[in-house]
Amino acid sequence: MTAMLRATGLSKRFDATVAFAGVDLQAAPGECVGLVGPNGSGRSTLLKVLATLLRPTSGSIEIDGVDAARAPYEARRRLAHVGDNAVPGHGLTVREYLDFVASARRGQMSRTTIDDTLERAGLRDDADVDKLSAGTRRRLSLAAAFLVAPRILLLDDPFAGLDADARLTFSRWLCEVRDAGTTTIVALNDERDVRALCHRILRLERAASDAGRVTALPATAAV
Amino acid sequence: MTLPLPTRELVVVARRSVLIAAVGMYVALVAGFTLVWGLKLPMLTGVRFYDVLRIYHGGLLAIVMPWIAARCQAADSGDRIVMLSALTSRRPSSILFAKILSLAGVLTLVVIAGAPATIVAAKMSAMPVSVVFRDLASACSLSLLASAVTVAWTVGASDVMVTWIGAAATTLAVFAAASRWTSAPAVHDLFVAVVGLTVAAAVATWSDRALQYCHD
Repeated sequence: MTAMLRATGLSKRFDATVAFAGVDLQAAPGECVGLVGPNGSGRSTLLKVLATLLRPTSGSIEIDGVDAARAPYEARRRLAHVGDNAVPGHGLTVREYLDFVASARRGQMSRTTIDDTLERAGLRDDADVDKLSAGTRRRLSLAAAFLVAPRILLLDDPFAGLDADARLTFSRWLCEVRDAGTTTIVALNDERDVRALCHRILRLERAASDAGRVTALPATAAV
Repeated sequence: MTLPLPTRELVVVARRSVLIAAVGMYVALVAGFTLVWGLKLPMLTGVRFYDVLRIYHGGLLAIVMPWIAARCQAADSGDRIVMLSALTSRRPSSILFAKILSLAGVLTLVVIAGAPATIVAAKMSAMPVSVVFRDLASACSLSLLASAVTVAWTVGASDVMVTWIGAAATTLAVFAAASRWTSAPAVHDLFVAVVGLTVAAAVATWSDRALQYCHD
């Protein structure tokens, strides 16, 4: 299998606490891998490590042939991460924010492209980013991630805070992005979402370590 | 956005309501000094009013510039820079350089806003206007230093007050050192600009290594 993303022997430890350990993961172009597991099993941390936001304690990550430890900035060009810690807008409007992200990642984008993204995401273009509700902020983050068309999408509970309509809209949008060839690693809580979106799942289990702390034990299975 | 990082910074600064208040206060302090001291107070023999204004102006800018930069910038530091780097897929050094250059541009505009008062002061001291323009160039090199130092302090200390006090003290120290060690105005300006560029280069180089990842 040609891997767009390959993680080998990945582990992350915060002082004495093990977030996850021994994770091996490969994802092919266009493949969607669901991360499932109980709260505290390290799914969000794993996504942040894969997104090069956190340094792994051990193991290696290859993003589209780029060693993420040697060239994290090169790796970042190929991926987008949506999680709980969004970049503040500092007074930018939703349109300006999308324009800024798109321009930084892909160069100047047409007004029509931004308009289409805003309309599809159900976002008001003149709204202040810092005053958006959590759900609307999540819509903006997802819209920005889809707009920049990365090779790898890392999504941490992407539908959190979304209403039913938005959930359906973004679920369909994500399917389109996936079918267009984007490799997607997505942490989900709802099993129905996993079945609808993912080709495979990686289950992270909590298990007591020798010190009585939590360790994630990975296992993969086809959906 | 053709230059996304500087454009973002400039939009953020322009939206800060405190910017107008700060510029107004700065212009009022320069104009007030010119009117009160220049017209009302007697000067010592052999001392020109413009020379007094120049010292006052330099000190004022060294305090006001870091305050404007600290209060008006998009205050990104620590993990936020890492997140911004991931969002834009740009290196932290590019983010900080864009910030420094944008703020230097804004501070230069602030200096220009005070130019009419300094021109009046030059006229009162019977000095040619060309002296004012040379001093404006000097203030531009100070704006580069103040923006670089403020961004460096912002990265190190996220608190606005600490950033301002630290940046103002550093800017004043460099300005005073330049005044003490250099006699020719051009060398003075060059010294200040070189220190500003060195600080910018140092903080940018450091950020690419230190701000690669978020803190655990």
